[in-house]
Amino acid sequence: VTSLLLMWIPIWHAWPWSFSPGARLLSFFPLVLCIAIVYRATRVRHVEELPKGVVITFLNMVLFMGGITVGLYLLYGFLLRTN
Amino acid sequence: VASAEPAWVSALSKAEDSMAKASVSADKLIQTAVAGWLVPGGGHFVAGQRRLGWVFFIAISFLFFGGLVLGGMKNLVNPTTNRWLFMAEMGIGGYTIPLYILNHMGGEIRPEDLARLDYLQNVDPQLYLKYVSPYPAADVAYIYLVVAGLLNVLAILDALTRMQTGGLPTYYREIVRANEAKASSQAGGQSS
Repeated sequence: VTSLLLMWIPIWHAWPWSFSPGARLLSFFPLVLCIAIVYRATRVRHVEELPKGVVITFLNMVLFMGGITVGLYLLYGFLLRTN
Repeated sequence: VASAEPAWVSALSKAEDSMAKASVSADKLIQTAVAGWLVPGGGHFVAGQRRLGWVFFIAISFLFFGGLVLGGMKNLVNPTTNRWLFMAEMGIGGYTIPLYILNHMGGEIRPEDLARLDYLQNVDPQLYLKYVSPYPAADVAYIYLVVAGLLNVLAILDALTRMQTGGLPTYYREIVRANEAKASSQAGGQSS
């Protein structure tokens, strides 16, 4: 790990460690958080209005995307069984 | 006895005051757009919305550099391998252009070579993986970079709107509600 760290220049080189499917799933959350922050920041007049709006938008996006994922998974399972 | 003024009247008059105070010279609008294009949130700084500018700067820069850390710049700031990704990244010109220039200044791999099949068939896999991340990190990096570039376009448009309206955002609920109240009040007046 130390030799990798010495060789690795962030941005110049690619991520040198393995990136598991679990990490890929977790990377969804910072993405959604940043989208929620920017989207809400275009809707408020003052920064003080931001935290509540960001939390609501973040939860909405996570829940609805999660719902779509579960729905598609169930549909996929159903189609596999019928064919 | 005079009746109390409806709430929408004061909300609309506040918005009109704010817009009247706004300075909207073409030079200032160009400065706002260019500043926002160079640095995320830069347009908000020019428009006098410094705290919102910091919010845009942190959120968009995190996505952009997070994507680059995962994927590496050789393949991801490279119009020869993915011109659509590069176009989206150009939403933040102040980050993408210097990185594009830096990309051509050194390294063991030339960015153009990554688009050549004969080079990819013969390149040392270890060297390739040093500069280009494989699936799934590459997928995440692509998405982060595309989203960062496009979100910055949104931030630039928001800065321009705030500049023109004296700090009001694109969709300000108070104005929308006031306009709805005004419309229903006028419809009520006509029907009676």
